[in-house]
Amino acid sequence: MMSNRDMFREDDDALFAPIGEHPADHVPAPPSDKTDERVPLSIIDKYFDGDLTTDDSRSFFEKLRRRPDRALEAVWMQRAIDALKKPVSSPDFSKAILRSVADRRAWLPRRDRIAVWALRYAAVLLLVGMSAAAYTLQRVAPEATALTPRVTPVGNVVDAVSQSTETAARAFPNSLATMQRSVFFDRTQVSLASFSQSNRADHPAPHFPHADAAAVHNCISAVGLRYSDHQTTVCDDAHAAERTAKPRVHMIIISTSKK
Amino acid sequence: MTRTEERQIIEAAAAGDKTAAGNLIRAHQGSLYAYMLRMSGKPDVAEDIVQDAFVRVLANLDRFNPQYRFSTWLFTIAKRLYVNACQKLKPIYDSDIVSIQRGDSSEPLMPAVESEFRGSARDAIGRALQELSAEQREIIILFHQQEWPIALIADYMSMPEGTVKSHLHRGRRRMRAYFEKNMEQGADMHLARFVQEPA
Repeated sequence: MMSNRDMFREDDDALFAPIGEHPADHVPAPPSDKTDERVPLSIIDKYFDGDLTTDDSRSFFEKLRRRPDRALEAVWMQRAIDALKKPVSSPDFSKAILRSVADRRAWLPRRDRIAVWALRYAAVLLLVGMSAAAYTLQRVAPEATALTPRVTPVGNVVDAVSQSTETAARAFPNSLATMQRSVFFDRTQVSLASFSQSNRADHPAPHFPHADAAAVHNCISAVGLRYSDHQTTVCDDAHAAERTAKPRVHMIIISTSKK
Repeated sequence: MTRTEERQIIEAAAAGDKTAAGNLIRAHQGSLYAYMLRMSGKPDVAEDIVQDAFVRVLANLDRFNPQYRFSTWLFTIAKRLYVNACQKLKPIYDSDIVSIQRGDSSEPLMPAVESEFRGSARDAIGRALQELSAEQREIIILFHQQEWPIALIADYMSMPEGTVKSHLHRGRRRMRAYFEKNMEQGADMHLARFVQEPA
């Protein structure tokens, strides 16, 4: 009779047998059953997303035929989607909406609409035309478009006066003499520091007798102003020169004796 | 209606053509009403919002950017009106409904009003839709009812396409579960037909 101890010993021997020799190492594999193919939910999702190709779709339905539980899920999904796609009968809101919109904006008959469009196009064309004309005028006759006293480099000062360069140069000493006799800008009012007989900034300023602004305006047609930093501007009359003048400005008379 | 035709109609309506405006309304009112009806579950709410949305859109047609689809613009306005309407209604129901729902709902959009609408959903699909979260419901409606592509829905809802698909799949499964649970009759017949007739 085999004792319990012997029995366990035998079992222990079998238990520690090399791998593959124990009966438990030979567990039969589950039978392959192609009818139990899995139908993942992701494929069902893809089907309803419309992402399956024709072949994939055919394969999907083959699988569904073998998996009624999954097929039932798909059927319920399809039923829900079919119900959602059923057309909804909608009332006609157009009249009520148009009536409400009419309170906010005007509906125009065809003739008025055309008139509105024509006016809009005309306004646009007018704007473009005016811009083009202004541009052309500026190119052809820049002085015609200058609305303020034009700033000119000192080299162009003579060009800015009405007389020719030669005449202006000849008249220059006489003009200065006239100015020396009759013109004086009050330092506090006009803020002109001094007159200069030439355009040299370091020339000592002469003393001039008193004269009023009207006298200045009557005898000056163009005045050049020289600033201490050697930037020179030209103004077309003495009042403008007065307005533009700043402290430490030297004044150059270019043309005088208005008629 | 092609997009070119639609653009011409919009331009005419914007210029004051009443007939064109009427055509524009008739072309879109059905889909917008269906969308709002499924979103809200209440025909009267849907009617009000559809009318209000059209009035606002037609009064501001000059603001429409033709680069985008008119329907997307219209739906956006309608959705905002719907959200505003829900927010206006919310305090009325806050006191007695929110307290019941609080804590068990992950729905981000106005649980009190959702609940109120839910009670009045009249048909099975309406009730099934009201079981979904606001995002799931909207995406399912836009995808299956309005047949918008995923990319357009993602753009419309400012979401990545992956998120849209995720909402769509989850929502569809919840709808399926609802139908399965509440409508057991006739499943076998549908099953037989479904597996025999691949789409």
